[in-house]
Amino acid sequence: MRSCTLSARLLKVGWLCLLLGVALPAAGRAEKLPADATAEGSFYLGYRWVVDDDTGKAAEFQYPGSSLTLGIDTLACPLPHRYHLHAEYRNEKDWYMDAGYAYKDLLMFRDLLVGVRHNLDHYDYLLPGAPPSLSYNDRNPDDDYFVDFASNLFFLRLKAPDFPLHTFLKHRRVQRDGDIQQRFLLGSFGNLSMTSETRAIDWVADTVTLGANSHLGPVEMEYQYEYSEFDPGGGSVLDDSYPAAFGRPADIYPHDVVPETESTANTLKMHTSYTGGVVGAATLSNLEEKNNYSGTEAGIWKGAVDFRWLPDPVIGLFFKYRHKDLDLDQTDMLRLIGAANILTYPVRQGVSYDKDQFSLAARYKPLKRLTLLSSYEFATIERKDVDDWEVLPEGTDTHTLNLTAQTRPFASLKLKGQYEYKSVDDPAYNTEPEQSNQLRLNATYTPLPWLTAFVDYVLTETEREDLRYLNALSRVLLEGGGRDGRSDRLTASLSCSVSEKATITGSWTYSRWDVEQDLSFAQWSGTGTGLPFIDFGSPYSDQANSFSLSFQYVPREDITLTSEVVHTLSSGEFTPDTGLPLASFSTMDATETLFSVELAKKMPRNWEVGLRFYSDTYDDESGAVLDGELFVTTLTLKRYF
Amino acid sequence: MSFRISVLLSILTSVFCLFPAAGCNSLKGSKPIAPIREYEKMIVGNLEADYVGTRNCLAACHEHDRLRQYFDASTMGVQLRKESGMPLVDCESCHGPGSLAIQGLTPELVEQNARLGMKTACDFKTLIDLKNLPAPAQSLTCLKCHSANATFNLHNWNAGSHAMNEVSCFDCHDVHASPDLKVTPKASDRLCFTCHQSAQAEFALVSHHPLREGRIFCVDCHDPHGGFSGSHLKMDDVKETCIQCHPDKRGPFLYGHADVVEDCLNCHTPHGSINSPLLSAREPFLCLQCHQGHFINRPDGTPISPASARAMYTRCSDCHSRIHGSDTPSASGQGRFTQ
Repeated sequence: MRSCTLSARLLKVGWLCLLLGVALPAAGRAEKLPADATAEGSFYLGYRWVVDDDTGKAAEFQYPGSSLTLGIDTLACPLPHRYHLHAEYRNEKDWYMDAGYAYKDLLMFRDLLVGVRHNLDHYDYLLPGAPPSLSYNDRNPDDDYFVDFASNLFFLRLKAPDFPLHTFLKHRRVQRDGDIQQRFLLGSFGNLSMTSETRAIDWVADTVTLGANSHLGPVEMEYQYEYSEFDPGGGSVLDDSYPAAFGRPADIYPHDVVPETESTANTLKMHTSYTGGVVGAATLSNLEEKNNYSGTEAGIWKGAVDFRWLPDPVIGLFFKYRHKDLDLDQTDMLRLIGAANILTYPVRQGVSYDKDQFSLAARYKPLKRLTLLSSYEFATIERKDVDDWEVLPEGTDTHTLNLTAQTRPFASLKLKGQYEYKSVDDPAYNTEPEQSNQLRLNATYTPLPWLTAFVDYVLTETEREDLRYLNALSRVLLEGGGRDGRSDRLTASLSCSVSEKATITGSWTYSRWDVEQDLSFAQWSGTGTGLPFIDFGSPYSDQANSFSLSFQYVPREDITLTSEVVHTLSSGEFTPDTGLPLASFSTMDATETLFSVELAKKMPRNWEVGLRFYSDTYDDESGAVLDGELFVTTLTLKRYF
Repeated sequence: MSFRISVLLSILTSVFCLFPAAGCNSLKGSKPIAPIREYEKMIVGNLEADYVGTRNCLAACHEHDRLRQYFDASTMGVQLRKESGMPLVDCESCHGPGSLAIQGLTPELVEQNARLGMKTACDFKTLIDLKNLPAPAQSLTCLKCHSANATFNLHNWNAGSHAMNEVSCFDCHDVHASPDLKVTPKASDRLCFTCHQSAQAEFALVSHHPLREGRIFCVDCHDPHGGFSGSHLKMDDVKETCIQCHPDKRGPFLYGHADVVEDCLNCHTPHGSINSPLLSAREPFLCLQCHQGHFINRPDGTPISPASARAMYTRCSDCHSRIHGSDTPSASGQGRFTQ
C-alpha cells in the first residue's frame, strides 16, 4: 500500500516534470540553432584480474572475481545542448556514473549513480568455553557477509524563459542488498544465549524533493517539499523462542525489528542579494517523521538566520542563529505480541528538546597579509520531561570561544594558528567535557618553486569532573569521579620536484588519543547496598601512524609512471584494573599496507595502453581473523577523441 | 502543528501569486541592502578603458592560445554565443574593459607575428588583477551575476566558514577549465584535500568510508558553499547527513537511546578510525564511558569467571543489538536494546 502511495506520487511528479519539460524549451525556442561543437574525451576498455583467495579486511570494498572493465569521460557542447558523461564500470557491483544534459539555461539534468560492494566482518565469538549460565550459537558459521550498496541521485531543474524562476525535482534512491550478520541475545541473566545468524536484507530508501525558487527583486525565495520513505522489505522482523524471564512467559517474540519509516518536510528559504555589504538569509523547515511499526512520530521545527555585515573592507561581522525543536509522540503502553501471549508494558517517553545556537564572529584584517578571526558561540538545549531519565540534566549550556590568526608574511610561507576554548554547563553525557582547550597550528612553506612543505598539528585537552552513572542495583544516580583526555594529531608532508620529469611526495600522519576515566562496574557488596566498584583513572588509548610515499615520473612525453605506497600502523589499549582480564578483550594492533603502480603509454592515433597493479595487505597482530591480502591488476586500452 | 503549516503555505502562496503582478522587469535587478563600495570599485576595472567585445579580445589576441580552447568548452565560453540561449557573459564581464589591453594591436599584426612564430601579448596589466584581489572581491566578481538568478546553493555562503576564512569562488572553480564550472564529485576530493590534508589522512585509517576507493566523495556529506549546520554539512545536521545512506538508523524509535543518536559523532568518526565500524573508541570502553558495567562479582562476593567476563565485556553490541533504537522491549519489559 505504501509503495503504491510512493509510486503514485512519483508518477504525478514525473508527469508534472514532463509537462514542464515540454513547455519550457518550447517557450524558449526562437530559432533553429546549429550544432557547433564536437564531443571530446576518452573511453577505455580493459580487464581486471583480482586475486582474492584470502582477503579478510584487505578487500573490504572489493567485489570478488575478475572482470571486464570499461569507462568513458566525455563532454560535448553542440549548442544549445550540453552533455557530459563520466562513467566507470569495474564489475557488476562496482560502478560510477555522472551524466548531465543541459538545454540553454532552461533545462538542466544530472544523474549520479554509484555502486559498491561492502564486505562485512563475520564476528566469531572465539570464546574458549562458555560459562554455565551462557551459551553461544552461530547458526551460520561459514557464511560470508556483505552489502551491495547502490545510490542514484537524479536531478532535474527547469527555468522559465527570460526570468530566474526555477522548478526542480530531485530523487535519491539508496539500496542495500545482501547478507549481514545479525547478532542478538536470547534469554536473560542466568540463561543467556548469544546468537548469531545470517539476515538477508533488501532495504530501499527513496527521497523525492520538489521545489521552486525565484528572484523577487529585493529577496530571493525558495520552497521545497520532500518526501522520504524507507522500506526494509521482507524479513524486517525476526521471531525467536525466548525462555521465561522477568515474569514474561516463554514464547516466540519479535526482535531486532528494522521498521519501515517515512517523513515529509517543508522548507522555505529566503535571502537578500549576495552582493550587499549587508546580507541576510533565513530558513524555516518543518519535518514530520513516522515509524510505521511502532507508530512513533517526531515533529521537528528548524529555523536558521544568517547575517553578514562588511562595514569596511578590513572588517567583517557574522551572526548565525539556529533553532531546532523536536517533539516525540509515542505510545504510553506497548503491546508485545508473542505467538501465544500478549503482554503490555509501560514505555518510558523519549527525549524531546529545544535547541538554540547563537554565534557571533568578527574578521579583522589589520594588514594585507594578516587576518584575525574571533568567534563566540552559545548553544543551549532544554530537554523536556526527562524525569524518567535519571542521568540526563534538563538543560545544557555550551560556550565556545575561538581565536584564529592567519598570515602570509612572505609569498612562500602561509601560517595559521587557532585556539578554541569550550565550556559546558551541566553536560549530559560523560564523554562531553566540562572544559576543553584546542590548539591548532598549520603551515605551508614553499622555499623553492620545486619544494613544498606542509605541517598541521592539533592538540586537544579535555577535562570533566562529576561523571554520572546509574547504579545497576539500586538505580541510584552516582555523581563523582573524573575524566581527562588528550588528543594529538600531526600531519606533515614534503613534496619535491626532483626534476622536470619527476615528482616525489612523502607524508606522515600521527594521531593519538589518550583518556583516563574513572569507570563504574556493578558489584554485589556484603551489605547488599550494591555500591559499584570504581576503577580510578582507567586508561584507554588509540594510536595510528600512517606513512605514504608517492612518485610520478614522466620519462618521455608519451610515458607516465605513478606509484604510491601507504603503510598504516594502528594500535590501542584499554587496561582497566578490575581484577578480571578485561584488557585482553580490547586490544588493537594492526598494520595495513597499500601499494599501487601505474604505467601509461601513449600510442599512435590517440590510443593509450595502461597497466595498473594494486595490492592491500592487512595484518591483525592481535588475532588473525581479519588478516588477508588482495591483488588487483588492470590492463586498459584507452582512446582519446 | 497543522496550523503552522497552513500559515507557512499561505505566506508562500501569497508571495508566489503577488510577484508576477508586480511585473517581471521591476524584479530583475539585484537590489543589495547596502553596496560593498570598496570591493565594487576593485572589480570595476580601469576607468580609462572602454569595452571592446570578445571578438577583439580572445578571438584576436588569444586565438592561438590554449586558453581559447579551454574557454570555448566552458560554460562561460558557451555563454559568449547568442546561440547558447544563456545570459551573455564575455571576457570583460570579469576582466573589466579591455581597450587599453589591446591598444595598438590589430588582427593583422597578430596574424603576422603568428606566421613568424611569435606570440602577440596584450597589455593584460591594464585589466583587473583578479588573482590578487581580496577573496571577498574575487567572490563578488561571480556573485554579481549569481545573486539575481536564484542560485540557492549559495544561500548560506556569506556567513559560512569558507567565506569567513577568505576562501573565494576562484579557489575551487576554474572558470576557464571546466565545461559547466561544476566540480565533479571525483575532482572534489582532490580539491578539498588541497587544504584539508589532515582529513585526507583520516581516510587512510583501517576503518574508513570508501573514499580512497572512489565510491564516496567529500560532496556526498559536505556542501562547500555552506549549510544549515556546522562543518558545511550537506544536510541540516549530522544525523540527517548520515541517514542519507544509512536510512535504517533514522527512526524515530519507540525506545530511543536518549538524545545520543541525534548526533552520530557521539560514537562515530566519519572520516576514519582505527576502530570498526568507524567507532570513536572500541567496545566495551565506548559504552563504559557512560554506562556502568555489568556485575563483576557474584552475590556471594566471589568474582565472576574470566569466561563470563569475556562474554560481558567483549562487544556490548553482541547482545545490545539495537543500539541505535528499538521498537520491541527487552525481556525485562524495558528498552535495553537487546530485543
